[in-house]
Amino acid sequence: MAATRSASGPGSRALPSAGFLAGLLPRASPDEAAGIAPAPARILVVDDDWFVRLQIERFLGCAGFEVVGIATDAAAAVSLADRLRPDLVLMDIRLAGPVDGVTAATEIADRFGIRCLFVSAHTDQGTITRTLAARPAGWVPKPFTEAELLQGVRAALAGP
Amino acid sequence: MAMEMLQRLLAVLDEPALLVGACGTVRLANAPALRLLGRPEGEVAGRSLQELAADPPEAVRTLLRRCAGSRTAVIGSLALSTADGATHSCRCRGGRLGEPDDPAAPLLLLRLEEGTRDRSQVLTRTIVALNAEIRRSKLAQDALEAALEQKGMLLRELHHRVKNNLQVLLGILLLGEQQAKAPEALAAIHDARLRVEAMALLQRLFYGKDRLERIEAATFLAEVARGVERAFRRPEVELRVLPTSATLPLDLASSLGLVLNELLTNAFKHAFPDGGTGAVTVGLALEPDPAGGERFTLTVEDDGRGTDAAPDAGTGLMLVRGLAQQHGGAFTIEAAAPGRSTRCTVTLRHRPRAPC
Repeated sequence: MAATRSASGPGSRALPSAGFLAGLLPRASPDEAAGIAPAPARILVVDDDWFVRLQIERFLGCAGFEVVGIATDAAAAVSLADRLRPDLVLMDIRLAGPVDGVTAATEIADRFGIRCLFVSAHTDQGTITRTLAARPAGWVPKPFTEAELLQGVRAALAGP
Repeated sequence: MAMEMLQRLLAVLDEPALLVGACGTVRLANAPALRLLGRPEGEVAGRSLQELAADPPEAVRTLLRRCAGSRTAVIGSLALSTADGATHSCRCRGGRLGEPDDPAAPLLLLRLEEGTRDRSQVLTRTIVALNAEIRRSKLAQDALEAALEQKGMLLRELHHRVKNNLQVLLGILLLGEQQAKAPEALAAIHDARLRVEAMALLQRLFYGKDRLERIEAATFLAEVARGVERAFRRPEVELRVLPTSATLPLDLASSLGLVLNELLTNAFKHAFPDGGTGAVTVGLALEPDPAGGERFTLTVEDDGRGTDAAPDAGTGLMLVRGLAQQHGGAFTIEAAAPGRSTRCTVTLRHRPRAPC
Protein backbone atom coordinates (compact mmCIF):
# COMPACT_ATOMS: atom_id res chain seq x y z
CA MET A 1 0.00 0.00 0.00
CA ALA A 2 1.36 3.42 -0.82
CA ALA A 3 0.17 6.94 -0.22
CA THR A 4 1.51 10.39 -0.82
CA ARG A 5 0.91 13.17 1.60
CA SER A 6 2.33 16.25 3.19
CA ALA A 7 3.61 16.03 6.73
CA SER A 8 1.87 19.18 7.77
CA GLY A 9 -0.60 18.44 10.48
CA PRO A 10 -1.97 19.56 13.79
CA GLY A 11 1.36 19.19 15.56
CA SER A 12 3.44 20.94 12.92
CA ARG A 13 5.29 24.11 13.72
CA ALA A 14 7.11 26.72 11.70
CA LEU A 15 10.11 25.59 9.69
CA PRO A 16 13.44 26.02 11.38
CA SER A 17 15.54 28.90 10.22
CA ALA A 18 18.09 28.53 7.47
CA GLY A 19 20.83 28.88 10.05
CA PHE A 20 19.51 25.99 12.07
CA LEU A 21 19.57 23.70 9.06
CA ALA A 22 22.78 25.04 7.55
CA GLY A 23 24.78 22.16 6.23
CA LEU A 24 22.08 19.64 7.01
CA LEU A 25 19.86 19.94 3.98
CA PRO A 26 21.39 18.46 0.88
CA ARG A 27 19.72 20.56 -1.77
CA ALA A 28 20.87 24.14 -2.12
CA SER A 29 18.24 26.48 -3.46
CA PRO A 30 18.56 29.78 -5.31
CA ASP A 31 16.05 31.06 -2.79
CA GLU A 32 18.72 30.84 -0.13
CA ALA A 33 20.67 33.63 -1.77
CA ALA A 34 17.54 35.71 -1.65
CA GLY A 35 17.16 35.08 2.08
CA ILE A 36 14.28 32.67 1.68
CA ALA A 37 14.27 29.55 3.83
CA PRO A 38 15.35 26.46 1.85
CA ALA A 39 12.83 23.84 0.94
CA PRO A 40 12.50 21.23 3.67
CA ALA A 41 14.19 17.92 3.11
CA ARG A 42 11.75 15.48 1.46
CA ILE A 43 11.51 12.13 3.17
CA LEU A 44 9.88 8.83 2.25
CA VAL A 45 8.81 6.69 5.22
CA VAL A 46 8.65 2.90 4.86
CA ASP A 47 7.19 1.07 7.85
CA ASP A 48 4.29 -1.35 8.15
CA ASP A 49 3.23 -0.25 11.65
CA TRP A 50 0.68 2.52 11.90
CA PHE A 51 1.76 3.70 15.34
CA VAL A 52 5.38 3.89 14.30
CA ARG A 53 4.48 5.85 11.19
CA LEU A 54 2.40 8.17 13.35
CA GLN A 55 5.44 8.99 15.48
CA ILE A 56 7.80 9.39 12.56
CA GLU A 57 5.42 11.69 10.71
CA ARG A 58 4.80 13.75 13.82
CA PHE A 59 8.45 14.09 14.78
CA LEU A 60 9.61 14.88 11.25
CA GLY A 61 6.76 17.30 10.66
CA CYS A 62 7.41 19.17 13.88
CA ALA A 63 11.09 19.47 12.97
CA GLY A 64 10.30 20.95 9.57
CA PHE A 65 10.90 17.98 7.33
CA GLU A 66 8.41 17.02 4.64
CA VAL A 67 7.12 13.46 4.58
CA VAL A 68 6.40 13.05 0.87
CA GLY A 69 5.21 9.46 0.95
CA ILE A 70 4.40 6.43 3.04
CA ALA A 71 4.94 2.80 2.06
CA THR A 72 4.31 -0.37 3.97
CA ASP A 73 5.96 -2.90 1.66
CA ALA A 74 9.07 -3.13 -0.47
CA ALA A 75 7.40 -2.86 -3.87
CA ALA A 76 5.57 0.31 -2.91
CA ALA A 77 8.77 1.73 -1.41
CA VAL A 78 10.70 1.24 -4.64
CA SER A 79 7.82 2.59 -6.71
CA LEU A 80 7.44 5.72 -4.57
CA ALA A 81 11.18 6.31 -4.47
CA ASP A 82 11.19 6.21 -8.25
CA ARG A 83 8.27 8.58 -8.57
CA LEU A 84 8.96 11.03 -5.74
CA ARG A 85 12.78 11.02 -5.67
CA PRO A 86 12.99 11.91 -1.96
CA ASP A 87 16.16 13.19 -0.32
CA LEU A 88 16.11 10.33 2.17
CA VAL A 89 14.19 7.13 2.85
CA LEU A 90 13.45 5.98 6.40
CA MET A 91 13.35 2.20 6.07
CA ASP A 92 12.20 -0.49 8.47
CA ILE A 93 13.69 -3.96 7.99
CA ARG A 94 10.62 -6.12 8.45
CA LEU A 95 7.89 -4.96 6.13
CA ALA A 96 4.51 -6.17 4.98
CA GLY A 97 4.92 -8.71 2.19
CA PRO A 98 7.66 -11.16 1.35
CA VAL A 99 10.49 -8.71 0.58
CA ASP A 100 12.31 -7.03 3.42
CA GLY A 101 13.62 -3.51 3.84
CA VAL A 102 17.24 -4.42 3.13
CA THR A 103 16.33 -5.64 -0.34
CA ALA A 104 14.19 -2.58 -1.00
CA ALA A 105 16.91 -0.23 0.26
CA THR A 106 19.54 -1.91 -1.92
CA GLU A 107 17.35 -1.57 -5.01
CA ILE A 108 16.56 2.07 -4.23
CA ALA A 109 20.26 2.85 -3.75
CA ASP A 110 21.31 0.98 -6.89
CA ARG A 111 18.60 2.29 -9.21
CA PHE A 112 18.03 5.83 -7.98
CA GLY A 113 21.10 6.66 -5.89
CA ILE A 114 18.88 7.44 -2.90
CA ARG A 115 20.17 6.25 0.45
CA CYS A 116 18.15 4.84 3.30
CA LEU A 117 18.28 5.48 7.01
CA PHE A 118 17.35 2.21 8.64
CA VAL A 119 14.87 2.55 11.51
CA SER A 120 14.49 -0.89 13.00
CA ALA A 121 14.53 -3.03 16.11
CA HIS A 122 16.82 -5.48 14.28
CA THR A 123 20.14 -4.29 15.62
CA ASP A 124 22.12 -7.53 15.70
CA GLN A 125 25.48 -7.58 13.96
CA GLY A 126 24.32 -10.02 11.30
CA THR A 127 21.51 -7.73 10.15
CA ILE A 128 23.70 -4.64 10.21
CA THR A 129 26.28 -6.41 8.09
CA ARG A 130 23.58 -7.43 5.64
CA THR A 131 22.44 -3.82 5.24
CA LEU A 132 25.87 -2.67 4.11
CA ALA A 133 24.93 -3.72 0.56
CA ALA A 134 22.44 -0.84 0.58
CA ARG A 135 25.14 1.70 1.53
CA PRO A 136 22.93 2.90 4.41
CA ALA A 137 22.87 6.54 5.47
CA GLY A 138 22.67 5.45 9.09
CA TRP A 139 20.82 3.54 11.73
CA VAL A 140 18.19 4.53 14.29
CA PRO A 141 17.40 1.62 16.61
CA LYS A 142 13.85 1.09 17.83
CA PRO A 143 12.45 2.00 20.24
CA PHE A 144 13.52 5.55 19.43
CA THR A 145 12.71 8.89 20.99
CA GLU A 146 11.96 12.07 19.08
CA ALA A 147 15.46 13.41 19.73
CA GLU A 148 17.13 10.19 18.59
CA LEU A 149 15.14 10.03 15.37
CA LEU A 150 15.83 13.64 14.48
CA GLN A 151 19.50 13.30 15.30
CA GLY A 152 19.69 10.28 12.98
CA VAL A 153 17.83 12.05 10.17
CA ARG A 154 19.96 15.18 10.39
CA ALA A 155 23.16 13.18 10.42
CA ALA A 156 21.97 11.15 7.42
CA LEU A 157 21.09 14.27 5.44
CA ALA A 158 24.39 15.90 6.31
CA GLY A 159 26.38 12.81 5.43
CA PRO A 160 28.39 12.21 2.26
CA MET B 1 74.48 -72.11 23.53
CA ALA B 2 74.45 -75.20 25.68
CA MET B 3 71.04 -76.79 26.25
CA GLU B 4 71.70 -76.78 29.99
CA MET B 5 72.21 -73.04 29.90
CA LEU B 6 68.99 -72.62 27.98
CA GLN B 7 67.15 -74.77 30.49
CA ARG B 8 68.38 -72.50 33.29
CA LEU B 9 67.36 -69.47 31.28
CA LEU B 10 63.82 -70.77 30.85
CA ALA B 11 63.67 -71.67 34.55
CA VAL B 12 64.15 -68.04 35.60
CA LEU B 13 61.25 -66.81 33.43
CA ASP B 14 57.98 -66.29 35.31
CA GLU B 15 55.81 -66.63 32.25
CA PRO B 16 55.25 -69.82 30.26
CA ALA B 17 58.08 -70.25 27.75
CA LEU B 18 58.92 -72.84 25.11
CA LEU B 19 62.11 -73.56 23.24
CA VAL B 20 61.15 -74.82 19.79
CA GLY B 21 63.26 -76.14 16.97
CA ALA B 22 63.08 -74.85 13.44
CA CYS B 23 60.76 -77.63 12.35
CA GLY B 24 58.41 -76.87 15.23
CA THR B 25 59.51 -79.56 17.66
CA VAL B 26 59.34 -78.50 21.27
CA ARG B 27 62.78 -78.89 22.83
CA LEU B 28 62.21 -77.44 26.28
CA ALA B 29 59.25 -76.11 28.30
CA ASN B 30 59.55 -74.35 31.64
CA ALA B 31 57.35 -75.10 34.64
CA PRO B 32 54.75 -72.38 33.95
CA ALA B 33 54.40 -73.70 30.38
CA LEU B 34 53.87 -77.24 31.64
CA ARG B 35 51.25 -75.99 34.09
CA LEU B 36 49.53 -74.11 31.30
CA LEU B 37 49.46 -77.19 29.10
CA GLY B 38 48.48 -79.44 32.01
CA ARG B 39 51.04 -82.00 30.86
CA PRO B 40 54.26 -83.48 32.28
CA GLU B 41 57.51 -82.60 30.60
CA GLY B 42 57.61 -85.99 28.94
CA GLU B 43 54.38 -85.26 27.03
CA VAL B 44 55.67 -81.95 25.78
CA ALA B 45 59.36 -82.22 24.94
CA GLY B 46 59.89 -83.78 21.55
CA ARG B 47 56.36 -83.17 20.32
CA SER B 48 55.42 -80.90 17.48
CA LEU B 49 54.04 -77.55 18.50
CA GLN B 50 51.24 -78.05 15.97
CA GLU B 51 50.09 -81.03 18.03
CA LEU B 52 49.96 -78.97 21.19
CA ALA B 53 48.31 -75.98 19.54
CA ALA B 54 44.60 -75.41 19.07
CA ASP B 55 45.33 -73.08 16.18
CA PRO B 56 45.34 -74.46 12.60
CA PRO B 57 48.76 -75.92 11.62
CA GLU B 58 49.26 -73.27 8.97
CA ALA B 59 48.80 -70.51 11.58
CA VAL B 60 51.40 -72.18 13.80
CA ARG B 61 53.82 -72.52 10.91
CA THR B 62 53.37 -68.87 10.03
CA LEU B 63 54.10 -67.85 13.61
CA LEU B 64 57.24 -69.99 13.69
CA ARG B 65 58.39 -68.64 10.35
CA ARG B 66 57.99 -65.08 11.58
CA CYS B 67 59.85 -65.81 14.79
CA ALA B 68 62.69 -67.54 12.89
CA GLY B 69 63.19 -64.43 10.83
CA SER B 70 63.85 -62.11 13.72
CA ARG B 71 66.25 -61.92 16.62
CA THR B 72 64.02 -59.37 18.30
CA ALA B 73 60.64 -60.29 19.70
CA VAL B 74 57.88 -60.80 17.16
CA ILE B 75 54.42 -60.45 18.59
CA GLY B 76 51.70 -62.91 17.66
CA SER B 77 49.11 -65.15 19.22
CA LEU B 78 49.03 -68.85 19.96
CA ALA B 79 46.21 -71.02 21.30
CA LEU B 80 47.35 -74.14 23.17
CA SER B 81 45.32 -77.28 23.93
CA THR B 82 45.58 -78.68 27.41
CA ALA B 83 45.48 -82.31 28.38
CA ASP B 84 41.85 -82.03 29.47
CA GLY B 85 40.83 -80.54 26.12
CA ALA B 86 40.65 -76.92 27.19
CA THR B 87 42.12 -74.12 25.09
CA HIS B 88 44.31 -71.29 26.37
CA SER B 89 44.68 -68.27 24.18
CA CYS B 90 48.07 -66.63 24.63
CA ARG B 91 49.91 -63.62 23.41
CA CYS B 92 53.22 -64.84 22.05
CA ARG B 93 56.49 -62.93 21.85
CA GLY B 94 58.98 -65.06 19.95
CA GLY B 95 62.38 -64.76 18.36
CA ARG B 96 65.34 -66.70 17.06
CA LEU B 97 68.23 -67.64 19.34
CA GLY B 98 71.67 -67.66 17.73
CA GLU B 99 72.74 -66.93 14.16
CA PRO B 100 71.11 -68.56 11.15
CA ASP B 101 74.26 -70.61 10.41
CA ASP B 102 74.55 -71.80 14.00
CA PRO B 103 74.53 -75.67 13.89
CA ALA B 104 72.11 -75.70 16.76
CA ALA B 105 70.00 -73.05 15.14
CA PRO B 106 67.53 -72.02 14.60
CA LEU B 107 66.13 -72.43 18.05
CA LEU B 108 63.09 -70.29 18.76
CA LEU B 109 62.16 -68.91 22.16
CA LEU B 110 58.42 -68.40 22.59
CA ARG B 111 57.33 -66.46 25.65
CA LEU B 112 53.61 -66.75 26.28
CA GLU B 113 51.20 -64.49 28.11
CA GLU B 114 48.02 -66.26 28.90
CA GLY B 115 44.61 -64.84 28.22
CA THR B 116 45.65 -61.82 26.20
CA ARG B 117 43.37 -62.81 23.37
CA ASP B 118 40.46 -62.61 25.79
CA ARG B 119 41.77 -59.32 27.13
CA SER B 120 42.20 -58.11 23.59
CA GLN B 121 38.62 -59.03 22.88
CA VAL B 122 37.51 -57.21 26.01
CA LEU B 123 39.60 -54.23 24.95
CA THR B 124 38.09 -54.36 21.48
CA ARG B 125 34.60 -54.50 22.94
CA THR B 126 35.45 -51.57 25.21
CA ILE B 127 36.75 -49.54 22.27
CA VAL B 128 33.61 -50.34 20.29
CA ALA B 129 31.46 -49.29 23.24
CA LEU B 130 33.50 -46.11 23.66
CA ASN B 131 33.13 -45.30 19.99
CA ALA B 132 29.39 -45.81 20.28
CA GLU B 133 29.35 -43.53 23.33
CA ILE B 134 31.36 -40.89 21.46
CA ARG B 135 28.87 -41.09 18.57
CA ARG B 136 25.97 -40.73 21.02
CA SER B 137 27.70 -37.80 22.72
CA LYS B 138 28.34 -36.15 19.37
CA LEU B 139 24.69 -36.55 18.41
CA ALA B 140 23.63 -35.14 21.77
CA GLN B 141 26.06 -32.24 21.36
CA ASP B 142 24.74 -31.53 17.87
CA ALA B 143 21.20 -31.57 19.24
CA LEU B 144 22.20 -29.23 22.08
CA GLU B 145 23.92 -26.83 19.70
CA ALA B 146 20.86 -26.81 17.45
CA ALA B 147 18.62 -26.18 20.47
CA LEU B 148 20.93 -23.38 21.62
CA GLU B 149 20.84 -21.78 18.20
CA GLN B 150 17.06 -22.09 18.18
CA LYS B 151 16.89 -20.55 21.65
CA GLY B 152 19.13 -17.69 20.56
CA MET B 153 16.93 -17.07 17.54
CA LEU B 154 13.79 -17.08 19.67
CA LEU B 155 15.42 -14.75 22.18
CA ARG B 156 16.41 -12.31 19.44
CA GLU B 157 12.88 -12.48 18.06
CA LEU B 158 11.47 -11.88 21.54
CA HIS B 159 13.72 -8.84 22.07
CA HIS B 160 12.75 -7.56 18.66
CA ARG B 161 9.07 -7.87 19.51
CA VAL B 162 9.51 -6.21 22.90
CA LYS B 163 11.33 -3.29 21.30
CA ASN B 164 8.67 -2.97 18.59
CA ASN B 165 5.90 -3.17 21.17
CA LEU B 166 7.53 -0.43 23.21
CA GLN B 167 7.67 1.71 20.07
CA VAL B 168 3.97 1.04 19.49
CA LEU B 169 3.24 1.93 23.11
CA LEU B 170 5.08 5.23 22.63
CA GLY B 171 2.92 5.82 19.55
CA ILE B 172 -0.24 5.17 21.54
CA LEU B 173 0.84 7.66 24.19
CA LEU B 174 1.76 10.20 21.51
CA LEU B 175 -1.70 9.81 20.04
CA GLY B 176 -3.16 10.37 23.50
CA GLU B 177 -1.11 13.53 23.86
CA GLN B 178 -2.35 14.81 20.53
CA GLN B 179 -5.96 14.27 21.58
CA ALA B 180 -5.73 15.46 25.17
CA LYS B 181 -7.64 18.65 25.77
CA ALA B 182 -7.00 19.38 29.45
CA PRO B 183 -3.47 20.58 30.30
CA GLU B 184 -3.35 18.19 33.27
CA ALA B 185 -4.19 15.24 31.06
CA LEU B 186 -1.64 16.32 28.48
CA ALA B 187 1.06 16.65 31.16
CA ALA B 188 0.21 13.26 32.65
CA ILE B 189 0.34 11.49 29.29
CA HIS B 190 3.55 13.30 28.38
CA ASP B 191 5.17 12.20 31.64
CA ALA B 192 4.01 8.67 31.04
CA ARG B 193 5.58 8.78 27.58
CA LEU B 194 8.89 9.93 29.06
CA ARG B 195 8.78 7.01 31.50
CA VAL B 196 8.14 4.55 28.71
CA GLU B 197 11.00 6.15 26.77
CA ALA B 198 13.24 5.48 29.78
CA MET B 199 12.11 1.85 29.80
CA ALA B 200 12.72 1.65 26.07
CA LEU B 201 16.25 2.89 26.61
CA LEU B 202 16.81 0.17 29.21
CA GLN B 203 15.54 -2.42 26.76
CA ARG B 204 17.97 -1.25 24.11
CA LEU B 205 20.90 -1.12 26.49
CA PHE B 206 20.29 -4.47 28.12
CA TYR B 207 19.38 -6.58 25.18
CA GLY B 208 22.07 -5.36 22.86
CA LYS B 209 24.50 -7.37 24.93
CA ASP B 210 25.49 -11.00 24.91
CA ARG B 211 25.62 -11.24 28.68
CA LEU B 212 22.60 -10.07 30.57
CA GLU B 213 23.62 -10.45 34.21
CA ARG B 214 25.12 -7.02 34.83
CA ILE B 215 25.63 -3.73 33.04
CA GLU B 216 28.26 -1.01 33.48
CA ALA B 217 26.71 1.69 35.65
CA ALA B 218 28.68 4.58 34.12
CA THR B 219 27.40 3.90 30.60
CA PHE B 220 23.91 3.23 31.83
CA LEU B 221 23.59 6.41 33.94
CA ALA B 222 25.03 8.52 31.11
CA GLU B 223 22.51 7.10 28.61
CA VAL B 224 19.55 7.71 30.92
CA ALA B 225 20.80 11.23 31.63
CA ARG B 226 21.27 11.93 27.93
CA GLY B 227 17.71 10.78 27.25
CA VAL B 228 16.28 13.26 29.76
CA GLU B 229 18.60 16.00 28.54
CA ARG B 230 17.40 15.53 24.98
CA ALA B 231 13.77 15.52 26.06
CA PHE B 232 14.04 18.86 27.88
CA ARG B 233 16.44 20.66 25.55
CA ARG B 234 17.90 22.89 28.24
CA PRO B 235 21.50 23.57 27.15
CA GLU B 236 21.85 26.18 29.88
CA VAL B 237 21.53 23.44 32.48
CA GLU B 238 24.69 21.36 32.77
CA LEU B 239 24.16 17.69 33.50
CA ARG B 240 27.11 15.88 35.07
CA VAL B 241 27.41 12.16 35.73
CA LEU B 242 30.24 11.42 38.18
CA PRO B 243 32.53 8.50 37.28
CA THR B 244 31.78 5.14 38.82
CA SER B 245 33.26 1.70 38.32
CA ALA B 246 30.16 -0.08 39.65
CA THR B 247 28.22 -2.60 37.64
CA LEU B 248 24.47 -3.04 38.02
CA PRO B 249 22.56 -6.30 38.23
CA LEU B 250 19.85 -6.46 35.59
CA ASP B 251 16.79 -6.52 37.84
CA LEU B 252 18.02 -3.57 39.86
CA ALA B 253 19.18 -1.57 36.84
CA SER B 254 15.69 -1.19 35.41
CA SER B 255 14.42 0.26 38.70
CA LEU B 256 17.47 2.48 39.07
CA GLY B 257 16.95 3.77 35.53
CA LEU B 258 13.36 4.69 36.22
CA VAL B 259 14.32 6.35 39.50
CA LEU B 260 17.05 8.41 37.82
CA ASN B 261 14.68 9.35 35.02
CA GLU B 262 12.16 10.65 37.56
CA LEU B 263 14.68 12.59 39.64
CA LEU B 264 16.26 14.22 36.60
CA THR B 265 12.85 15.01 35.12
CA ASN B 266 11.92 16.58 38.44
CA ALA B 267 15.09 18.67 38.50
CA PHE B 268 14.72 19.86 34.91
CA LYS B 269 11.07 20.72 35.46
CA HIS B 270 11.28 22.53 38.77
CA ALA B 271 14.83 23.51 39.73
CA PHE B 272 15.50 26.03 37.00
CA PRO B 273 12.34 27.98 36.19
CA ASP B 274 12.22 30.77 33.66
CA GLY B 275 15.27 29.61 31.72
CA GLY B 276 17.60 29.77 34.70
CA THR B 277 21.08 28.30 34.47
CA GLY B 278 22.62 25.73 36.75
CA ALA B 279 23.90 22.19 37.06
CA VAL B 280 22.55 18.80 37.96
CA THR B 281 25.00 16.20 39.29
CA VAL B 282 24.38 12.46 39.34
CA GLY B 283 26.46 10.10 41.46
CA LEU B 284 26.32 6.41 42.29
CA ALA B 285 28.11 4.64 45.13
CA LEU B 286 28.29 0.90 45.67
CA GLU B 287 29.16 -0.69 48.97
CA PRO B 288 28.67 -4.08 50.59
CA ASP B 289 25.37 -4.34 52.39
CA PRO B 290 25.90 -5.30 56.05
CA ALA B 291 22.76 -7.42 55.72
CA GLY B 292 24.30 -9.25 52.75
CA GLY B 293 24.56 -8.43 49.06
CA GLU B 294 25.15 -4.93 47.73
CA ARG B 295 23.82 -1.48 48.52
CA PHE B 296 23.63 1.17 45.79
CA THR B 297 23.25 4.83 46.69
CA LEU B 298 22.11 7.14 43.92
CA THR B 299 22.33 10.89 44.43
CA VAL B 300 20.88 13.59 42.21
CA GLU B 301 21.79 17.09 43.28
CA ASP B 302 20.93 20.39 41.63
CA ASP B 303 21.92 23.96 42.43
CA GLY B 304 18.55 25.32 41.41
CA ARG B 305 15.95 27.17 43.40
CA GLY B 306 15.48 24.50 46.04
CA THR B 307 12.33 22.62 46.83
CA ASP B 308 9.30 23.50 48.81
CA ALA B 309 7.53 20.30 47.87
CA ALA B 310 6.84 17.66 50.44
CA PRO B 311 8.75 14.46 49.66
CA ASP B 312 5.52 12.62 48.99
CA ALA B 313 4.26 15.10 46.42
CA GLY B 314 3.75 14.12 42.80
CA THR B 315 3.45 10.89 40.88
CA GLY B 316 7.14 10.89 40.02
CA LEU B 317 8.36 11.00 43.60
CA MET B 318 5.73 8.45 44.59
CA LEU B 319 7.22 6.17 41.94
CA VAL B 320 10.73 6.78 43.30
CA ARG B 321 9.64 5.99 46.84
CA GLY B 322 7.82 2.86 45.71
CA LEU B 323 10.80 1.51 43.76
CA ALA B 324 13.14 2.24 46.68
CA GLN B 325 10.86 0.30 48.99
CA GLN B 326 10.64 -2.53 46.48
CA HIS B 327 14.42 -2.91 46.71
CA GLY B 328 14.59 -2.62 50.50
CA GLY B 329 15.94 0.91 50.35
CA ALA B 330 14.86 4.44 51.10
CA PHE B 331 14.36 7.82 49.48
CA THR B 332 15.23 11.16 51.02
CA ILE B 333 14.99 14.66 49.60
CA GLU B 334 16.72 17.55 51.32
CA ALA B 335 17.94 21.07 50.72
CA ALA B 336 21.73 20.82 50.54
CA ALA B 337 21.94 24.61 50.86
CA PRO B 338 18.77 26.18 52.20
CA GLY B 339 16.78 27.85 49.48
CA ARG B 340 19.40 27.14 46.86
CA SER B 341 19.69 23.49 45.97
CA THR B 342 18.12 20.09 46.33
CA ARG B 343 19.73 16.76 47.02
CA CYS B 344 17.84 13.52 46.44
CA THR B 345 19.27 10.27 47.77
CA VAL B 346 17.93 6.83 46.93
CA THR B 347 19.33 3.60 48.31
CA LEU B 348 18.57 0.30 46.63
CA ARG B 349 19.63 -3.07 47.98
CA HIS B 350 20.44 -6.12 45.91
CA ARG B 351 20.77 -9.67 47.09
CA PRO B 352 21.45 -12.37 44.52
CA ARG B 353 18.41 -14.52 43.97
CA ALA B 354 18.46 -18.26 44.32
CA PRO B 355 18.51 -19.96 40.93
CA CYS B 356 15.09 -21.14 39.72
